[in-house]
Amino acid sequence: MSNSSNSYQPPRFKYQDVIDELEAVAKVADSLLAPNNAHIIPQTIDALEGSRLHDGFYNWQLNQPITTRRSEGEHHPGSNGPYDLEGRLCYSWRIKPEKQGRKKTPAQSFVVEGNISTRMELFGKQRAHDAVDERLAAWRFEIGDNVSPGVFFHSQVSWHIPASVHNSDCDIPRFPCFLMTPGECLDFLLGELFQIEWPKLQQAHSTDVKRWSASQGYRMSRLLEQSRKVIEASAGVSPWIALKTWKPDDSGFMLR
Amino acid sequence: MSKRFAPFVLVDDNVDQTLPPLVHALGADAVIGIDYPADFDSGSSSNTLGKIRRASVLLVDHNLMDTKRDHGPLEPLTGSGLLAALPGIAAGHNDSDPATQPFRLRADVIYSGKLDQLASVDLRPGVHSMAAPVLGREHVVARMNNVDWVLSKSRKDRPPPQEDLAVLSELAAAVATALRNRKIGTESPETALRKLMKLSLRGWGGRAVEQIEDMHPPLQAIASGDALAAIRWLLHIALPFPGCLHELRDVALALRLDPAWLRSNDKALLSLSGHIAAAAYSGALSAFQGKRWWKAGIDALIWEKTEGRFYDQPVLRSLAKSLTGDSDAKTIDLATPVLVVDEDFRRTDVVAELDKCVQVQPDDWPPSVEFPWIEIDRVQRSPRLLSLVVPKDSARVE
Repeated sequence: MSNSSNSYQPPRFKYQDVIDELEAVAKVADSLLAPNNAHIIPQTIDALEGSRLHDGFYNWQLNQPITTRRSEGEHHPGSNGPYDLEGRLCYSWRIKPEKQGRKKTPAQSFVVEGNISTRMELFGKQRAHDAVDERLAAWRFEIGDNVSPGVFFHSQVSWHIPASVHNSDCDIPRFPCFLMTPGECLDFLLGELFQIEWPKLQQAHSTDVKRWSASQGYRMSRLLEQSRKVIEASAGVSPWIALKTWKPDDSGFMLR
Repeated sequence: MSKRFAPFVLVDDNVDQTLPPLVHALGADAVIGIDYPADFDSGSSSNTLGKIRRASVLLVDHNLMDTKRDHGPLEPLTGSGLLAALPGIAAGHNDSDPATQPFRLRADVIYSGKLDQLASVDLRPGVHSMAAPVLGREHVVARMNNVDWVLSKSRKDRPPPQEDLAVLSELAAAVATALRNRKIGTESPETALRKLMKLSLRGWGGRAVEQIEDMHPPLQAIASGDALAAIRWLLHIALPFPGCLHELRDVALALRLDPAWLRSNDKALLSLSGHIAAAAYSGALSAFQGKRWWKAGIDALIWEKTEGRFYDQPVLRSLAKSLTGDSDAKTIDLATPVLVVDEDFRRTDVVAELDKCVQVQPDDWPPSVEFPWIEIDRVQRSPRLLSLVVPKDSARVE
């Protein structure tokens, strides 16, 4: 049905791919991000670059969210959506640089283990109503680990917790997902908030999108191929449960 | 031509031999020869400076050293040296009034049989030179030497005479256009540049303006009235490098068409040209070394024709076949195609898969332009190219 946890290998990412993606998204999305956000992405790229010389685990995280400019109905293709929305994204990735050779040689790749979560929120209001902004939606794109119940690459939505409930740590449902890196998640968020403008900006900045598109495309293709293999090899259990319980057994399966 | 533009003026130490081919190409009335250094001697210098002042294009030989005579210690011995010294020479003859004419009012061209000397190319066998030859990189060598253009006298390097003529005529026309615009220095530099490039703000024009700004035009110089700074930016940056304007090969790539196939297929080219006419660049220097199109205009056309599916390769290929009127049009079947440069960083019609290429950063590549792509296997065979790979790609060529 699926590989056992004994054969689990945490996924690996190339530093350069993750950095290229974030750099490119930040450049192409410049006019869609809040004006006071200019420093956030360069700072977090610096932090990731710095981790290349780090021994052991490193928490790559963004405490101050990347915030979009306000989408005024642009979440509908005709810019006539009923909401004015602002997106926020932050993340926390526990990574381990894969250093090879001499101690001072920067790592070219890292593995992810433990808490790998990118969180997105929408704040805003219905345009027709003169209300104050509220949090309207929140979700996360996450990568599981050896003991997580699956599906391994998944997204989760935040619960609306009634006042009578004290423990809010319920982590279902987990929807299958093939977006992983912060750059990809920002791509997703911008694509939702700016249905026309975001693809148009990507077309206008085609030179900046090339590298990012190549690495993202490769990862997505490999994950979808892998998922198809798991589904086709399922026996004695539904393909969904096979996919849900699958964990990577080749840490390099998404490396170009 | 002589009626439309101020004359072309040639300064050469061997003017009797150099002048006839130019006269043949440009017309006897259009070209004035100046013998160097004889015509700069004190007795005739005012007349000489007067001729230079009237020039729309000043062609100056590179090597001005005459081995048969002694040169004064301050006498310029190269074309770029003479061009740099001209304001001083003029001032020494009370021939210039900096208060009223702070900027040059002509295009400066180095016209030489030894252009490779300008690019510091050492062609001796076994010499490991980082430089690249001039042919096809005139814009780079011109920028390095602080002139508007460089043109070869050498028969082997030279394009056919009519192409020489076209280059010089376009330069003269651009100078005339820039100088006619009396509002430069009074209106916003962005507006002045947009008018020079004949760009309307309607439709995709706003996006084109952003793409112009990405190429860092000399807005401060234009704002202070230097009309020819914009012409030089067009010659050195905006026209030869990919960015706000597409060459034919960029249009082909955007449509997933094989650029070499398109270039050699007149019927397809004619059909396509009709469909993309609204995006054609018609501003200053629009016919300089080939036609160009606004990237924003081509993007908008593709967006409209594909209903926003500009990234969908089958849809694009179908559009390419429709626009060329050729159902057998040769299309590109690569996931992420890039145009590559040759080993001397000249743009080519060769398309390769991005994953099989790296970017290199030649010293003379403008930082505002995407660094050029080149195939990994070619880089791995060349120590010179290996040393120029961008840091982010260095692990991919080890």
